[in-house]
Amino acid sequence: MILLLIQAVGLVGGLLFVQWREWKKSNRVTRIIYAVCLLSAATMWVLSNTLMFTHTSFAWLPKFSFAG
Amino acid sequence: METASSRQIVIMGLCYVFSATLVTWPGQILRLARQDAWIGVPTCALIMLGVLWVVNRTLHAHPGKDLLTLFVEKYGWLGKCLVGAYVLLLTLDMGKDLRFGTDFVNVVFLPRTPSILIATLIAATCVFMVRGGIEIVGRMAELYIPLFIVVALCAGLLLIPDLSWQYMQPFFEKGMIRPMVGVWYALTPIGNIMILPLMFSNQHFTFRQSCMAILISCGLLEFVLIICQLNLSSTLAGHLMYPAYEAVREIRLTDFLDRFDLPIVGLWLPTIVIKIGINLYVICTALQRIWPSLEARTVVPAVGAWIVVFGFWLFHTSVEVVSVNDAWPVLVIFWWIMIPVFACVGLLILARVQQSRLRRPS
Repeated sequence: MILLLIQAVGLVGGLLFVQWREWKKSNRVTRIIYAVCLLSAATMWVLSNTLMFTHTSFAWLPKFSFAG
Repeated sequence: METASSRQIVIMGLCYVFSATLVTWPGQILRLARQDAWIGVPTCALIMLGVLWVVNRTLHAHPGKDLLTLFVEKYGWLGKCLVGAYVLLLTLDMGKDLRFGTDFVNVVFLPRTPSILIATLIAATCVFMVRGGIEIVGRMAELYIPLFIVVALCAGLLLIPDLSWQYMQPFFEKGMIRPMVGVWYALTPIGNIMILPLMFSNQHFTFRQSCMAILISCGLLEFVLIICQLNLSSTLAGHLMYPAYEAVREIRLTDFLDRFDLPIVGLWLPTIVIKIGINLYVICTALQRIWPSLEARTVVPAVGAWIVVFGFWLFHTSVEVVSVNDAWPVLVIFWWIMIPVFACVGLLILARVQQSRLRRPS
């Protein structure tokens, strides 16, 4: 869990470090969407790796079943 | 840097149709449609040409505007919801392609490298491409796609001595069921041609270009499908994950070139990177249509990172992508056929009403 959090912080921190000046210059809408994308990606990264068993294999999707 | 030549548009269109398709699609279509699979590709091409004709008429009635802009301008908040739905669809599609590309590279080239590292490298390449603008994507497509097509055609021709024509027969063994299944699976790649009117207005994009893109890509898809069918038989190809790759592996040119598959895969890899790049470009453009003050170039890396994580969360393996691909034509019928046709017919009626109002004497 701690490792996953470090990885998530690394993702957000790394991209912000690379684009810091661009991010500072951008307008409010851009900053909000940028922050939402990065924070949700970091949350998804932690959750998807801690709650692995909630994952679906999509086996429930309908398939063609005629004897062909 | 925001323009692409007409040749680049055709090449991007055909890249978007066939690049990711070549990996598992021949196996999927041959597994159920068997020897009648080949009927699906030309049938779907005709359907999509009809859709493109309607869309092209709409773009001509509203010069200088692409389909996403028209949705937002003419349908207001409903149009923004539609554009949002396209963002969702393209995100799913990009996640699928990223997973396919990553797993294929993992199996063929880099079995000991972690998948997330390969996916990050592919996504980073796409981010740099998209930040450079559509011209960079177009130039990359112009560089790699013709080369890949020539090499793929040569590989197919080298397999001609190994082809068994009896694998095409008997025709219509189970009546019309198998051809219909072929049409179902062929909708997934060929429906993708609708990405072009989302990207370009009628100033850059014409019906002739879309016809050329669809004809060349469908010709190539049919060629790959028939080579897989005649070389491996539909029974065997239907059980393979990567039938086209297995067919190419049979080629032994000389003792020196006994791994002829490696240069072909090396040329195929940039094509799927370009496809993912096109997806990322359209997603960021669509977000800009929803929030006009958004600086699309700045958010590209964040959106790319989001889709990498999302793709890996949604699809743990590429086998899951294959399961999703079985049901994917439902989304194609809804998003790439029904919504554009109904929306464009509505826009054409609106344009007619406006014209008749202007002509009416006051």
